[in-house]
Amino acid sequence: MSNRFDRLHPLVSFCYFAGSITLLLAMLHPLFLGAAFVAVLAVTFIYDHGGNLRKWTVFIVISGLFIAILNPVFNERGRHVLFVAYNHRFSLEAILIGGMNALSLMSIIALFVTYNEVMTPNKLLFLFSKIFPQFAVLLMLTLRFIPLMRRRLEEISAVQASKGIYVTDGKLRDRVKNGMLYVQVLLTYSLEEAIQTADSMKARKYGTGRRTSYEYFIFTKTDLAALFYLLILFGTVLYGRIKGLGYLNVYPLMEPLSLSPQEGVTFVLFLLFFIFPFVVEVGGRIRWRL
Amino acid sequence: MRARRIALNFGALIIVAAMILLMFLKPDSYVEISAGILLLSIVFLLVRFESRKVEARELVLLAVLAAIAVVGRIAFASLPSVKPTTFVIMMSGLVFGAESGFIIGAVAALASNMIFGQGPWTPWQMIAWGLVGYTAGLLRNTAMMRNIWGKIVFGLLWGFLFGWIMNIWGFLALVQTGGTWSIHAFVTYFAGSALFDLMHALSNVFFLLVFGKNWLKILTRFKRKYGLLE
Repeated sequence: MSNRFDRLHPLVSFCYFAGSITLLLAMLHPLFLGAAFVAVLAVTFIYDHGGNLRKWTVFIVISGLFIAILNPVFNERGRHVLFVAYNHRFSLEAILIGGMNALSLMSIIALFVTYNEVMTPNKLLFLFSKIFPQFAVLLMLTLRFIPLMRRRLEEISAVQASKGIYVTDGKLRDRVKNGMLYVQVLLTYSLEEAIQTADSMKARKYGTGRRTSYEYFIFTKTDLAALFYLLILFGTVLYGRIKGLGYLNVYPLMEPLSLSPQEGVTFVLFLLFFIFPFVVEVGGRIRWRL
Repeated sequence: MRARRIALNFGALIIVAAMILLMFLKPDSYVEISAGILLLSIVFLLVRFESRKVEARELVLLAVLAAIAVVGRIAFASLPSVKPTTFVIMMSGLVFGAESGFIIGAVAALASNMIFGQGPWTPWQMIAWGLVGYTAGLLRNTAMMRNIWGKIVFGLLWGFLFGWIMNIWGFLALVQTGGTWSIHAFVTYFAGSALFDLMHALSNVFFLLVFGKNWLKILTRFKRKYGLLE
């Protein structure tokens, strides 16, 4: 599938991810969270090219199970006792809460698989540079230094190894000490080099005035429409949530799971928010055919 | 410039006061409010950092320290669970002050996650490492931090505190429902990471004992030589 979602303006993609996480945390209803989980998995399935989801599956399942089990184990409250084991009441309410928490957590983690595919470091840097320009420069410098220092560390370890100072074998105490010695050499080495870098920045008039720069990301009409789509849905759903929709009261008395008509509308809007990437892709296809 | 900074601090105070008031008005949603305070405090420190014009030399220095904090992990790739990141950030905070310490910690966390992959833990890591640098900077002139034993206690504490801050994001999901959470659940949850936290704390102490003095000397000499971030 062509990747139109990937080509949207970083602001739009960021709003999608930030909004999704907020809604996942705000909503507390098995139907809402279940639907969101399926939607997130489907989105992940499409955009995950490197098989990252498979790498994360274990983590997702384990943390989900952990959260799902932890609540009923420590929480006995609830009117519907399912079974009693070791003098401990396992109530439907406690299991439901545990399950909902697990769904919300698993969805958030799964969402980050897509996030890492779509919100590449350059997009995040772009967003930072608009709001916190100085911090963005700092981040950019740090990101540039990391590979450089990796190479320096290799050089250092080669030199030190020739002197018989290793990290790879010996007693644990010596290995840790030698490792830190490498880092210390790296520190003194890099600090002096840093002054050079800074002076060369200064020589090129860093920070003396406004600079223009090449804008790789352009905010188009499509982006504007997408942003409206997201903001309106997000706003309505959040308004509904404040009014108590999409929130299942478990204590003191459990509400029925079924949705009221009003809640049904909120549910549809909620789902429309989560399938935003599909809307973008399908919308693109339709426009292509027209 | 100065007026802007004062206005900024004043604004932050008002927001914090409003948040605390909100917490009294809506005691049920303390989790959301706490998360809000957390995010706002990151934003506040970033805005504060933006409000001052940082010299190129200082900027590069901060970047070098943050990068070393990240790359230090690679030097210890053959030794799992011994990571010098916290130690590096602590030393930076001690020499260059609270604000620089926070920025170094936060940038180190963000940059390392940009390379190794972002997750829901990113903001927590930024806060945790940022606070390591921040507290080290705040306490740098106290008798405690001048004393080697004080520093060891500090390193030991942060080994555990770091793990606890990182645990909170998982635990929050549990508490978020407003369902009952007992101290038992809390202890069980946190005991799960105790071994890693202990390793973290012990490696901090080891680094402080063996390298603390040296690093302070190197960084202080460098700071004086070029007159940076005084």
